Amino acid sequence: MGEFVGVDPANLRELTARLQRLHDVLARQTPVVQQKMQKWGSEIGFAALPSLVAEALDDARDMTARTGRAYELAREKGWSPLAPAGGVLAFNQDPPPLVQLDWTALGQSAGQARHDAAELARILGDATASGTSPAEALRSVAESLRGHLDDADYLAAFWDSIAPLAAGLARRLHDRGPAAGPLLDASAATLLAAFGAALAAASRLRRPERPGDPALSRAALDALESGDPWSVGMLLKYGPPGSSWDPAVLAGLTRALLDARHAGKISWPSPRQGIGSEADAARYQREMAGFDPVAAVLTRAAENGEAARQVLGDPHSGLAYARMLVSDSWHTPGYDRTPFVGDYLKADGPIPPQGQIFDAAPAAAFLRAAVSAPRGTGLDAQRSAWSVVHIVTATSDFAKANPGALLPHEIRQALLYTADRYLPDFAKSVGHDFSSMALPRGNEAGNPWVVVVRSSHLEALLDQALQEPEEFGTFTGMMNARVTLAVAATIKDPSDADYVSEMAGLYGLVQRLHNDQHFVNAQLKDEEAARDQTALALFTGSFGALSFSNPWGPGAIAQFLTGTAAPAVDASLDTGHALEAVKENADAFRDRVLHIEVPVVQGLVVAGVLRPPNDAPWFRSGMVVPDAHLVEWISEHAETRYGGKSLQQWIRAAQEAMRMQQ
Amino acid sequence: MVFALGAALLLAGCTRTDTHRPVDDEARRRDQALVAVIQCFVDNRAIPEGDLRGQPWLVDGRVRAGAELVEWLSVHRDTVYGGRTLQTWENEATAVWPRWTCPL
Repeated sequence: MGEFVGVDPANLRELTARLQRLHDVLARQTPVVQQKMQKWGSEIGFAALPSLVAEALDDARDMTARTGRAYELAREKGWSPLAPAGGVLAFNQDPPPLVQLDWTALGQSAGQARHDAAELARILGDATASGTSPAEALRSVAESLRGHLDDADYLAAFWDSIAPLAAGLARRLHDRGPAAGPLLDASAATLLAAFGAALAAASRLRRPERPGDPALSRAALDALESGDPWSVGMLLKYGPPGSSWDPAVLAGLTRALLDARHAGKISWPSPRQGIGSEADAARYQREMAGFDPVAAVLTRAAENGEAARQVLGDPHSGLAYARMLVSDSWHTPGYDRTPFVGDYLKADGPIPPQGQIFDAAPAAAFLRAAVSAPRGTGLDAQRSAWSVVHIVTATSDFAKANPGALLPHEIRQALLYTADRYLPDFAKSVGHDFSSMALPRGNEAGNPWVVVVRSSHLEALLDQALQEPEEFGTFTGMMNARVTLAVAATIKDPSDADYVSEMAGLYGLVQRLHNDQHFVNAQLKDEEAARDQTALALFTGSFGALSFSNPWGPGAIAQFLTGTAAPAVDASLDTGHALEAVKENADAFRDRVLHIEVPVVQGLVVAGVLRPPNDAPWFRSGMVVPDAHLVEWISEHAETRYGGKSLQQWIRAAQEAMRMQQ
Repeated sequence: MVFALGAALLLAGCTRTDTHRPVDDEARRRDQALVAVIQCFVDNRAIPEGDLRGQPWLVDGRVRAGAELVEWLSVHRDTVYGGRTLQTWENEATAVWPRWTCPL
C-alpha cells in the first residue's frame, strides 16, 4: 500500500536539482579521489564509492520521478505552469499547491519512463490541438531521456510505451515547426538527437531481470520498422554514430527503410515556404538530399560495419538488398520545370526533371562496410563473403538490365575496393561459370570463408569498376603487388593450389576488358603511372610485401587471401600525385618494382625455400634490393630448384602471368 | 600456367561489339569439360578417397556442377591424377570439347 505524504512540488523540485548536482560532483570526482588516496597510501577503503555513486544516481532518478508526479497532481488540482499575464501566456508566478504524493509507488525507473512517455504523448496531443510547436515543451522529456541512457528498465518501459509515437516524431516536429527555415530546425534536431541516443542505448542494453532480452522489445522495434520511414530515418540521422547501435537493430531498420524506398513509400515532408519559384524548387531538392532517411540509415549501418554485413550477407535476402544498392538511382527525384518556364518551351514536349542531386556516397560506404569483415571462420566473415557474392550478382544484373549504363562513381569505387579485398577469390573464379556462393576454403568446415563467383558475373563487375585508364592502372598495380605473395603462397599452401596461375587468369580477363576500351596513347600513360604508383605503394606501404620482418609469421596464404589494406586503394587513385612520384624517381622505381625477378625472389625468401647467402649484397634487412649482384646471382642459380620449381621456371610463370599487361 | 595463357589469349581476342561472346562459350566448354574429367576420374577411382571425403559436389557418385566444384579444383590444380595435373586434364579436355572421351 502506498505511503501518502504531503509535499510542496516546488520544494521537491529544488531538492531534486540539488540531489542531481550532488551526484554529478560525486561521479566526476570519485575516480580522482580514489586514485589520489591510493597513491598516498591511504588506509581508508574506497571500494564502496562507485556503488554509492550509483545509488546516488538512483536516488536522483527516484526524486525526479516524484517531482514529475507531484507536478502532475498539481495540474490535476487546476494549477498550470503557464498563466495569462498581460494578455500573453507566461510562466505561472504562483507556486503549485501542496499535493498528497504516494512516496513509495514512485521512484522506479519504469514508472518514470511511463510518466515521461505519457508526458510526451500529452505534449504532442496538445501541440496538435493548438497548432503550436511542441519542441520547447518536449525539452524536459529529452532531458530525462539523457539522464537514463544507461538505465535498461527505464529505456525498456519508455520505448514500449512510445515507439509508435517516436516513429512519427520528426514529421510532427516538422509539421508544427516554424513557418520558414530548413525541414527541421535546431530545437527539433536537439530533441531527435536525444531520442536517437535513447534508441541506440535501448538497442544495446539488456534487461537486468532478463539478460537475454534487449531493452528494446520486438514490439517496439516492429513499431519503428513499420512507422513513418522519414521520421525513423531522422532518429538515425541525429542519433549517435553507428558503433553505438546494436548491429541487428540497425540491420532491421536498414531493411525497413530500403524496403520502403523500393516500394516508393517514403513520403517527404513538404517544404516550409512552399514552392513559388524555381529557386524554391531547387532548394527543396537540396533539402531532400540533406534530410534523406535512407542515406541516414545507410551511413549508420556502414559506420557499424556488422549491421551492413547482416543485411547484405544474408544468404536468402541479401541479394534483394544488394540489387537496391548497386544502382544508379541514388539521386533526388528532381522537379518539374514546366510551371516556371514560358509556353514556348512547353511546346517541345515534356521537360526532363531538373535539379536532381546525386549522392551515392552513403550506399557506397555501406557496400564497402559489407565486404570489410576480417577473413576468418566466424559468422561475420561468412556474411562478408556472402555480401561479396550478392554484390557481384547484383552488378551483373544491373549491367544486363541497363546495357551501356554506368553505375555512379562512388559505387564503382566500392566495387574496385571489393575486387581488391577478394582478389584471390576472383582470380580463382575466372574461367568457370557454374554458380556463385560463399564457402569454407576447400569445402572443409572450419576453414576460412572464401568466395566463388560466376566468371561472367565477375566480368560484368570488373567492366563496371574499370572504366578509366587510371582505374585499370590501379587494379593492375594491385595485382602486380601480389606476385610475391602468390609465389610464396603457392609454395607454402599444403594443398595443390597454384595462385600464380589463377592470377594469370585474372590478368587475362582484365586485359580483355582493357582492349575493349580503346584508350588513346595519352590515356595509357596515365594508366601506367597509376599502375606503377599503386604497385609501389602496396609493395612498400601497408601491404608490406617487400618488408616482412617475420617472413612466415601469420602465413603467406593468409596474407595473400587478406590482401591489401584499403587506404592504398583510395590514395592511389590520385593520379596527378602518382605521376609526379613516378617522374621523380623513374629509374629507381622500375628497378624496384617492375622487374618481376624481385617479387619472385622475395616470394621464395618469404616462403622459406630460398635462403640468401649471409654475405649477399642484394639482401638487406630481410628485403631483396635489386642491383648488379642480384642479376648475377639469378643467372648463376637459374636452374636451382626452390619449392618444386627451378628459379627460372618461377620467374617465367610470373612473367607469363603478367605478360598481358606489359 | 597453360590454362592461364590459353584462357588469356582467348579472352584477349574478343571485342565488346561481339553479340555472342566467345568468352561465355569458352567458360561453358570449360565447365562441361571439367565435370566430364572429374566424373571420369571418380568412375574409375583415379582420385584417392581422401581427396573426395566430405565434398558436397559429389552426391552418390555423381559430380554436381557448381561453385563448390570450382573451389575443390582450386586446391587441386597442381595435383597429379593419372600422370598429369588436374589443370592439364581440364585444359586438354576443353581444347577438344565436346569430342573428349574418358581415357581411363
